[in-house]
Amino acid sequence: MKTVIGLEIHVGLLTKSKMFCSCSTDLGNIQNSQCCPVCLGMPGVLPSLNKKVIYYGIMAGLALNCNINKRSKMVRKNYFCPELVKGYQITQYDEPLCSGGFLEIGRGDTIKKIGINRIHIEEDTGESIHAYEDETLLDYNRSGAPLIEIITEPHLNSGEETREFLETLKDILKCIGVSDVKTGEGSFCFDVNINVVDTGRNISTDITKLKNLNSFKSVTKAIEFEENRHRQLIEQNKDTCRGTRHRDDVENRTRIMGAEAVTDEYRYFPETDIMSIVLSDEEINEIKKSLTGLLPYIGGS
Amino acid sequence: MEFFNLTMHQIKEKLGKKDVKATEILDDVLKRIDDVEDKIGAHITLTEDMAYKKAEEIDKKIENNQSIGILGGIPMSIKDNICTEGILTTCASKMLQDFVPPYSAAVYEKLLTEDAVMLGKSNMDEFGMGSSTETSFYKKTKNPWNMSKVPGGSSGGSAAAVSAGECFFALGSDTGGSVRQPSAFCGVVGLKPTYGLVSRYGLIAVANSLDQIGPITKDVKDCALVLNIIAGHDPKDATSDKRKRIDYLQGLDDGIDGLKIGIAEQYFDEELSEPVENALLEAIGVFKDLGATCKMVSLPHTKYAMAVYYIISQSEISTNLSRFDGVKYGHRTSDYKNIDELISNTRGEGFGDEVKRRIIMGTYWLNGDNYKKYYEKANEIRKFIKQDFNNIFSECDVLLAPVTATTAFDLGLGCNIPSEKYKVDRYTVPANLAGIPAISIPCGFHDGLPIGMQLMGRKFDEGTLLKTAKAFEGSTDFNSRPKL
Ligand SMILES: [Zn+2]
Repeated sequence: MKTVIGLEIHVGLLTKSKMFCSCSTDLGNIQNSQCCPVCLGMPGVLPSLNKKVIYYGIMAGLALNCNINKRSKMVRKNYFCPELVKGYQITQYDEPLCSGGFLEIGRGDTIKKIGINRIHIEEDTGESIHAYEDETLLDYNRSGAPLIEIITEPHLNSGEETREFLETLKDILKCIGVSDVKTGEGSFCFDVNINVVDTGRNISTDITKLKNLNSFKSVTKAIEFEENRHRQLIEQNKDTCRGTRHRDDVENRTRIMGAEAVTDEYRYFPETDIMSIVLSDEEINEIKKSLTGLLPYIGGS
Repeated sequence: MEFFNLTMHQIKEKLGKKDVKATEILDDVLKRIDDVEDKIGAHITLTEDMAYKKAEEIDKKIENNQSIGILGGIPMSIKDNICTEGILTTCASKMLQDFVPPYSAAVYEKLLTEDAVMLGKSNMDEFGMGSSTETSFYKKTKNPWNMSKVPGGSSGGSAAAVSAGECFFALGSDTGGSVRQPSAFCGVVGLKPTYGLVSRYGLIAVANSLDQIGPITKDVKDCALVLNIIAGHDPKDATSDKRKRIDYLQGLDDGIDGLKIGIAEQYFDEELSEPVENALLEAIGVFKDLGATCKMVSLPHTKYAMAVYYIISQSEISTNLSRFDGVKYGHRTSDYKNIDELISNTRGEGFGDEVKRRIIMGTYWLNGDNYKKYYEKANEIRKFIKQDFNNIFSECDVLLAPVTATTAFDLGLGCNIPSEKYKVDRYTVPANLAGIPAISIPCGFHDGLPIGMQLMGRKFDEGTLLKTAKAFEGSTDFNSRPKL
């Protein structure tokens, strides 16, 4: 029996200004003090893509041995929620900035390559604050702040491996300076996709998604819990149901969040208010040079 | 003295010679508004106080021999989907009934910098969706030539205001013909510039890959004058073009000797009414007399334009209008128990039927497999439509076509038959899909109603379009004002 784990990791970038406007990305200031018509999604305004976000995305991609795509584009991911100011999030989908990389974990004889499927750039949303019983307050200071999302291949096989991967990733991102990778403050959080495969009988459980984990401890614990649950199901020949689960740190268990089927209907759509991102070899090499010496991972290749 | 029927360049001349004061011009235009606005209903908001303040400021400058902007003292109306700081901007929708933007569209700022006098916000179809200005939540605008007819749409208020002498020029926006069609119906000049020539920053988007702001004026020279101000690169609009600015007044009177005009068979189809066809045939004669050569050309993919337009525009509409959720600004329902109800009831109450219809259709085009089946296909065909234009513009300079199949239709006719209504855009939509410039100018009358002629040109070649239009205008006499 084998546990199969893939990760989606959100990393807040250390740019001074937001992704599409000049508002500050500083954390911890008075609610809604870092907003403008653009990051509030007011009618008629247009996004101007912050070049630094592309630059940082490429740095992360190079550090994780990815191909930097010379042409990538932004799309709209459509869904309604009060934290999302425009009714869509500007992100990437079919043409991401970086694709096909890897990150090595382990040492000596036990080195293992964990595949990186893609890295894309996207905007963060605002936050809900449930201050009173009947009222929800909204803070849009994070709205439009830049993120990268790193999506791994399902190459991880245990909670321990996952933790090691995340720690290594954190060190790399910190070292190249694209993020402060603070787990508690939302600049480093992860979704875990997990299932269990019975290789002998060639059957597997359906994939469960554990969303918004933001500490290494909660990741390993959530994976452990989910691993056991899936193993029991497969032993009883029962399938798990496909769904999004929420980590409950207090009760040390995961809870189902609602059918994932809903999230398949994002109606991804080209964001034509932003031009395609077109990069030259020179530009990419320039960034590569700036990374040389920073990390042992990045050779002269 | 009456000024309201003069053109901008005539007013400019008078102001320049100190024959008249900016406040006197404003007085006259406001008197005109007093006389006719109740009948026409061209405006949603009037900004008289602001206008007087500006006019007085300009008079003072003139008095002190200080220089004034190019549009100094000239009253204008702005379509109500263009954001104007501190002034109600409703998109003619209940959704934005009390929306006062804290920022301005780039074009509005440019016009203010040139000292234009802001007079008001003009009526339109709700969020620009419609061809008769009848989907406005606030009022119906009448055609100044005949009160039982529509002014066209969606920039119907802008075209009616210019035609009726309620302002000297207006801005409209054109997604599928929304500047050109009302200009044709109201007997004024309306230009849809090349996509990317005029900044869209602050224009509340309908279909963002098709939308373009354009001037509506009394004659071609005024059109060039306004275009000179609003064209040009804007770093806030990533789709705005970086090329050098052109003076569109230069060469305006050069004539069109040797110009090659294409006449596309696809635009002279079974839908085209006889009076419009006759007016265009006569126009072709005029162009020949002016030294142009005319030849038949073919744009074979034109027949797909409407289907492609529906899918692309509605898809874009469905996501562009998602931001109106009642959370941060605009209408909010009082009938909700949770956030889902707040959003859906707000949208249910705030949007009119036509807007809902297009959002629903657009959502359908993008849903699951439909994206590949419809949206991607439509975009593929859009490329062929562009290619058609590229092909013909390698052999001719300007394409001559109708703007509309008929003259202005009756009020109340366009409202409840959506599929019929969409046909109205059939001759104007291709230019939006291809991103090319197109102008509508008066070219005749039928039963007391104006007929418009459309001239399309190469991307960023507004200069040739304006020159051609000016030559026609100079040798004909269709540029008259309605008796009100
Ligand atoms: Zn901002």
